[in-house]
Parts: sequence; structure tokens; C-alpha cells
Amino acid sequence: MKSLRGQLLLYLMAALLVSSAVVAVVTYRNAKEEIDEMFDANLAQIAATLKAGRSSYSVNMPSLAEHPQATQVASEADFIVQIWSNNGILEYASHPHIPFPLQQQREWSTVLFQGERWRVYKKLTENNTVQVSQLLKERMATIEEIVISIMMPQLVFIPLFGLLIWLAVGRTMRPLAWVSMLITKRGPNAMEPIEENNIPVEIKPLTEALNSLLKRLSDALTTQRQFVADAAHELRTPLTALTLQLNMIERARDATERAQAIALYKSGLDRSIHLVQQLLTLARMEPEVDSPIRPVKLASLINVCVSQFIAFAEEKSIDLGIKHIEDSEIDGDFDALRIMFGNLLDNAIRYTPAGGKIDVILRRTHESILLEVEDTGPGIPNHEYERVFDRFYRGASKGVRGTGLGLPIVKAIVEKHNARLTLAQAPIGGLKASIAFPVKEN
Amino acid sequence: MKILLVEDDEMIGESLSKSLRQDGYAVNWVKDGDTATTALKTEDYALLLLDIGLPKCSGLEILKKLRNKAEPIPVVIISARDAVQDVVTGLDTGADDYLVKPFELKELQARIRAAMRRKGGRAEPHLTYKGLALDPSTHKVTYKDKDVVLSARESALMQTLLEKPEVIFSRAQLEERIYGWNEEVESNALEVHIHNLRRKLGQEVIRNVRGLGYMVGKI
Repeated sequence: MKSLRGQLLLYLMAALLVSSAVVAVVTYRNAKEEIDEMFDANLAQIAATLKAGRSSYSVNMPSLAEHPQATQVASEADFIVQIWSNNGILEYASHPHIPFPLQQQREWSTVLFQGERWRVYKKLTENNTVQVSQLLKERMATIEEIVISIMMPQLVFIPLFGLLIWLAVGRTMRPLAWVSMLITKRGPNAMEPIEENNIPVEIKPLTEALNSLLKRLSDALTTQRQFVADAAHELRTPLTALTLQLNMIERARDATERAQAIALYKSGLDRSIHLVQQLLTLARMEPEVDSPIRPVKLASLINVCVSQFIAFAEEKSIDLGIKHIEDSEIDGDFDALRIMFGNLLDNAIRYTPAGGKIDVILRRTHESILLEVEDTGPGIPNHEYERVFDRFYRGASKGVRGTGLGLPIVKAIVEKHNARLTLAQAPIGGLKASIAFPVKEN
Repeated sequence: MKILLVEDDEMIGESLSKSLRQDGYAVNWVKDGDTATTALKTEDYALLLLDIGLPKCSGLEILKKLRNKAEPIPVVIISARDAVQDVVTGLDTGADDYLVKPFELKELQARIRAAMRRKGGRAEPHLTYKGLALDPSTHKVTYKDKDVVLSARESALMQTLLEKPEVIFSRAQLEERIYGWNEEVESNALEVHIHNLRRKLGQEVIRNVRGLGYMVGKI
């Protein structure tokens, strides 16, 4: 699992190590330069001292034969001082058994002798040549000692730093732990927002996003609860009717009364079934439920629905017909659209008095395809335009029995199709319901 | 025994009024609050059966108005709202009983009887007067150690008279109490019922005071 603390520690430690390495390299270079300068000055000084202090030397030049082990001890010497006469005779050697050769190069040179590197200073004077050589290994050891003595405390501090970072990050992360504790402690129904006081700026976007999610969830839950409560309440009424109708069958005194009671019971049952079906339809039209989207020819939709409702209209002597039609296609769920348009026609027929008229209009404008149903019924008062879409709301009009779910279903289907539903006064007197579908692109 | 039924649902209203009429009650059925208020002003009812979710004016409003005028009429609420708070509000507003939908007819009948009984200041379910006892739930009269079963209408008539013994009820008063709005009442229907009651129980049980009406008393 990804840990912010671990990652932070890793990055910071890596940065610390890299910077320490850089410091070490730089220190090494600087130290080397300084040390070189210092030792070179030493060599030059030794050479100058010898030149000034002695004008002639008598040296017993031991042969190599006397010192068979001479070659092995060369590297033990710090400095080798040698003085040659102008005619090339070695007059003096600080380590006579080391056959360090006279260099061609004047003044400064670095040479390889017996597998070791030497720094050599050669000074020519009037009478002789002074050569001072130093084993470079010595210098390197000194430089290393200096560098180590500088870097050591840093190396000791790195793990200490790591510990401090670990603790500091842990402390900084505490509000996060606090917030997660607050969230963990919540019951499934706790919808109140997380307290945003004392929350660091970095975590605030998270808590704000959570709070806004909680708000939306709580709203959705409230709507859902209200709907379930309303639905339960609405189911009670037809169930009460059924219970009473059943009681009437039980206490019928003769065959006629029983037949009447049974007829009533059947209509009560039909009504309950209708309500349950409407509830199911509404549940299926919830925005989060997917439905199959296919191209739908609105003319054939109108055809199917009008033929379905024509008998009902004729029964009430209502003239149901199409006033204007332009074939248009939209993308949608045919079955849902059929329920939607059917509900509009059903409402229109129910509320329009006998002898009235219902017109269906399908037309196109630049930005939308309009499906309209106009009737000569009593219409809906302006102030109720919004309320009729509330679930279970029934207008004050008498004598029409409904579930109060027809228009909410229409609204849900309309919204599912990104369309817009508007109610208005129809030119022929009653209500005009018009649905504006967006024009299909391409 | 006339009941005012306030219920906006067609099916429930129809079933209830039919059943209650079969039980011998006279039932006037209205479907909204305004009509209910008017009906309460114009006639006397033995009981108000009240739905709460009504168009125009809620059942609780009607009840509040009624109790503000100190009307003692017994009220039984029939409602789909079953929350404890709804029941408490209903009873505290002045209802005598609260019945949650859906309910069985038998239970409603029993509660109607109980509400009427309490209003009459009686705890026992029977109406009694000098050795005569009527059980309104079974329409049975016990008199002179004999059990006699009455018809629903006869029982309602007897109940009206027994609620206030030794008080004379006019013919119109009795008719109003036992018949509902849409019932066709034949001109001599009341006399027929009185005649039948006297035949079943004895002449002395119901007295006719010429020019005034009928009463139970001085058996």
C-alpha cells in the first residue's frame, strides 16, 4: 500500500544522501587543492632550506648491493631529499638505499616509481640540483582523513534526520487520521457534514468534496424516504377499499348483493394493480436506471398510441386526432416514450368533458422537435403547473380518479430523454402539454 | 342513528356507506371538507366518521372548528396516516377514536358503537330501561326474560328512543335520525317500524302521544 509517510521519508532521505555525496565530492576537491598547495609549498621550502644551508655535501653513497631490501622500503619514506652535483654525481640522499632517479622535468612533476606515484620538486642552483620527492599516497591519506572528519557527523545525522522526518510527518498527518476517524465513527444514516474547523488547507478540498457528496446523498435519501412513505400511504387507500369490499362480499345476504359486491371488489383490485404498475413504471424511469436507446420515429409512436386510445376517446365522444405531423426521428427508449405519450393522451381524455376535442401536433423548429397535446378540458390553473409534477399530487378537479403518478412519470421520461416539458393554455381552450426534444445531431 | 361520513375516496366511501346502512345507520356521505362543514351546520348527527386527507379543507381543520364550537358529537377518525404523532394529534384535536386504514368493517362498527355509547355516558354496551335491554351490536332486545331479534332499522329506532327514555320524539326527528339523504322514505314507513316493534315487544313499550310523537317510558 502506498504510504505518504514512507514516500516522503524515501524522497527526503534520497535528497539528503545525494546532497551529502555532492558535499563530499566538493569537500574532497577543495581539500585536495588546499593540501596539494600546502605540501607543494613544503617541498619547495625543504628544497630552499637545503640550498641555503649547505654548500657542499659528502655522502657515502651506499650501493644497492649493501641494501638488498632497499626497493621494498621505498614506499615507507615520507620525503626523499637528493642533491646532485652539476656533473651528475649524487652528493646527498636522505634515503640512500632508495634509488630514486633524477627527473628530467624542471620544478614540478608527478612520476611513477616502484608502483607508487610521487610528487617531485627539482630545483637547479649554481652548484647542484636539489630534488625533493614525496609519496602521493601520504597526501591522499591526509585528504581522506579531512574529508572523513567533515562528512562523518553528516552521516551520523542522516538516520537521525530520517527519524525526525518520520515523526514530523506523522504529526502533520494527524488531522487526516482525525478526519478518517470522524468518518469511520459515522453510522450509515449520519448525513450531517464533517466539521471543517481546524482542518488544514491541504485536506480541506477532500472534506469539502465529502460534505457535498453527503449533502447530495442526504437529499436523495430524503426524497427516496418521502417517496416510500408516500407510496405506502397511497397503497393504504386502495387496500382499505379492497378490505371493505371483501367485507361486503362476506356479508352479502343474497346472490344479487354478492354479485354487486364482487363487481366492486374487482374494480378495487384493478385500481390497486394500476397503482402498483404506475409505481413500478416510475421506479424504472429513475435517472440512474439504464434503458435501451434506439432511433425512434415519432410519427409511428403517435400512430401506436393514438390507435391505443381511440376507443377510450370515442367512448367519451371526444374527437381525438392529429392536427399536424412532420416526420422526425429522435434517439430514445420506445417503450418509455409510449408510456409518456400514452399518459398525456390518457390525462387529456380523462379530463376533457364529453364532446370535446384533443389535437396532437408534431412539428420541428430550429433547435427542437415539438410533440404537443392540446385539449378542450378545464386546463390547470397557472399556480399548479409546478405542483402537478409532484408525486401523488392530485388537482382539485372532481370526479376523475387517478393515482397522482401519471405526470411525474411523464416528467421522469422527458428528463431521461434530455427533453423539456411545458404546460400552457391551449389555443382551443384547455391544457397544452408540449415536449421539446433536442434535434438529433448530424 | 345518523352518521356523517367524510371520505374523498369513491370506493371506500361507497363501501362504507353501503355497509353502515345495512347495519341500520342512516349515512350521509360527503367528499370534501367544505361540504362536510355545511352538512354539520344544517343537521344533527349521532357520529362523525372523518378522513383526514381531504381536498380543500383537512379533516383536522373540520374537527378543530367543531370542537371550538363545543359540539359534543362523537368523532371517529379514519386515516391512512399511522404515525404515532398523527394519532396523538388526531385524538388531541378532539377525536374520540382513531382508526388506521386499512381496517376491517367489524372493527369500525365496534368503535362506532363504543364512541356513541361513551357519548351517552354509558360504560356498558347495552341500553337499558326498566327491564328492557337493547344490544345495538346484535340488534337483540331482552325483555321479560325473552330475547327478541330486531331488524337493523327497528334497532336504530329503538336505540334513538332508549338513548333518552321518557322524552317525546317527533315523527320528523325520528325520521331524520334513522334515514340518510338519498333514501326514499315511504310516508308510513315509520309507523310500520313502530308497529313491528310493538308486535315483537308488546304494545306498552312505545307510547304514542297524539299530536307530539313517540316515546319509551312508564312501562
